Amino acid sequence: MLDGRTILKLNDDVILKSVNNSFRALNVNDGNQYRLNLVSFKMLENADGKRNIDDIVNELTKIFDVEKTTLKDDILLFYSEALQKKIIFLVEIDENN
Amino acid sequence: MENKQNKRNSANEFYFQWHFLNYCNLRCSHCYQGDYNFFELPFEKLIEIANKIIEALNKWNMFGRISLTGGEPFMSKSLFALLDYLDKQDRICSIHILTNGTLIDDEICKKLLKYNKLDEIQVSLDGGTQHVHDATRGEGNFDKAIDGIRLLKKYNFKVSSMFTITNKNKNDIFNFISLAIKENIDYISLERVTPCGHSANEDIISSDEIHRIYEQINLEAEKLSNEIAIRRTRPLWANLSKNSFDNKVGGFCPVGFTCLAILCDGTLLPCRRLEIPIGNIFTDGIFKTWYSSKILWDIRDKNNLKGKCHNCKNISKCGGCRAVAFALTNDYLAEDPQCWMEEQF
Ligand SMILES: C[S@@+](CC[C@H](N)C(=O)[O-])C[C@H]1O[C@@H](n2cnc3c(N)ncnc32)[C@H](O)[C@@H]1O
Ligand code: SF4
Ligand code: SF4
Repeated sequence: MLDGRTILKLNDDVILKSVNNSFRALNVNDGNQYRLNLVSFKMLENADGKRNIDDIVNELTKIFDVEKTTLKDDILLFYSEALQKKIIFLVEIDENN
Repeated sequence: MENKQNKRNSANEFYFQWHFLNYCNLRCSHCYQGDYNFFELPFEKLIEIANKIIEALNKWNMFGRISLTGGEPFMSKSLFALLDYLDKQDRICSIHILTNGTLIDDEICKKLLKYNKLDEIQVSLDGGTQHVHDATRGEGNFDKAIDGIRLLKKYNFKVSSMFTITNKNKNDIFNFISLAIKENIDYISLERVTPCGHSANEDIISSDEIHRIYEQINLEAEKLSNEIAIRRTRPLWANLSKNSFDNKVGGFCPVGFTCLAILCDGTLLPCRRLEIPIGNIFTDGIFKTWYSSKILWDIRDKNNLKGKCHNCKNISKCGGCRAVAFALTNDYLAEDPQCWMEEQF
């Protein structure tokens, strides 16, 4: 289960591209391509393997005019789908550190 | 590309120009190819390439049009085995062979008859008369090419012909069109030479002259439309289309969108004439190249086009030839140096 503390990282095989207001995630290894909108594009762009989901929600509410709680619900849903499709991966945190 | 249709239509087709060998029996003066040392991959490697093409088509839910070319494809020892393989693939919808025509005989024609997807054979003619053609392609090769075309027509193949316009043959265009009609050639194309590779020093024809030549060809195409189809869908032709609904004349170049060229060692180019390697099909694969090449992404965004092309009203039906731009200016985003349109602001 994902929560606000989860850290995610974009798959190294996935390239994010935006051209003429069309947004895509492209997997150079298996060839899969996914059409995105600006919000989901930004969600993936922010999955940098360092910041957790709460940090990213804070960041994105600065750009998009949306309630934090709504954005958090959306991002959790989108990230779990993206995880299943192997567009992003979970970053394990060493709890002892 | 996330096309969900399962039936073939022009929107879900991808074109591969596959130069699967570089060996050739001729040495045409305008040819971009510089190296004719025999190079043809072993058959298993050719099948590996074919499978990569099919994998990409499957993933994209697209259908492939493949032109098999070289070098001279009829010098290949693998041509027929490769055709056997490609013809059976559901994802391949059309196969063309591009040839100089000089090696075609009855036996070859009979063997070719069995391929259902082989729907066009293009024989190059660089003159409408023997001496003009042979000045580019070498003595005796006009007669051989015409014999080849006649044989192909005897066996009812659809035959097209490509005339590459150079300073050597620009005054022979009407003869070429008449010849094509006389020989019952189904489609012809006349396109300017790209001074790239081995032909980098080829004299380039000025934009005024190209304008005059294209206008004459366009008039002939309209006048002779019941006798022969003259293809005019590459860059610059849009300048001559009568109105924006005229979809016979003009077309945005598919480079970066729906085509790739594959060289005999697996090198991938955006187009055979835009000689900037963007990957290798064996080491990088099609997906990595197609998704990550900076050059392809630069070209995909029409806003990046420079000079006259940037604000041009015809951009959606032209975009200029990126290969000619690169060959002449070293910038693949530059305006097409042979375009005669006035700059628009
Ligand atoms: C390279 S040939 C290969 C097939 C075959 N050997 C033939 O001559 O048709 C394919 C086509 O490319 C054309 N071509 C070669 N060099 C060119 C160049 N520098 N610019 C434009 N077209 C060129 C040829 O005239 C021919 O029509
Ligand atoms: S244009 Fe074709 S026939 Fe002529 S040298 Fe090049 S590959 Fe050979
Ligand atoms: S300016 Fe560029 S896009 Fe416009 S017609 Fe000329 S080559 Fe084509």
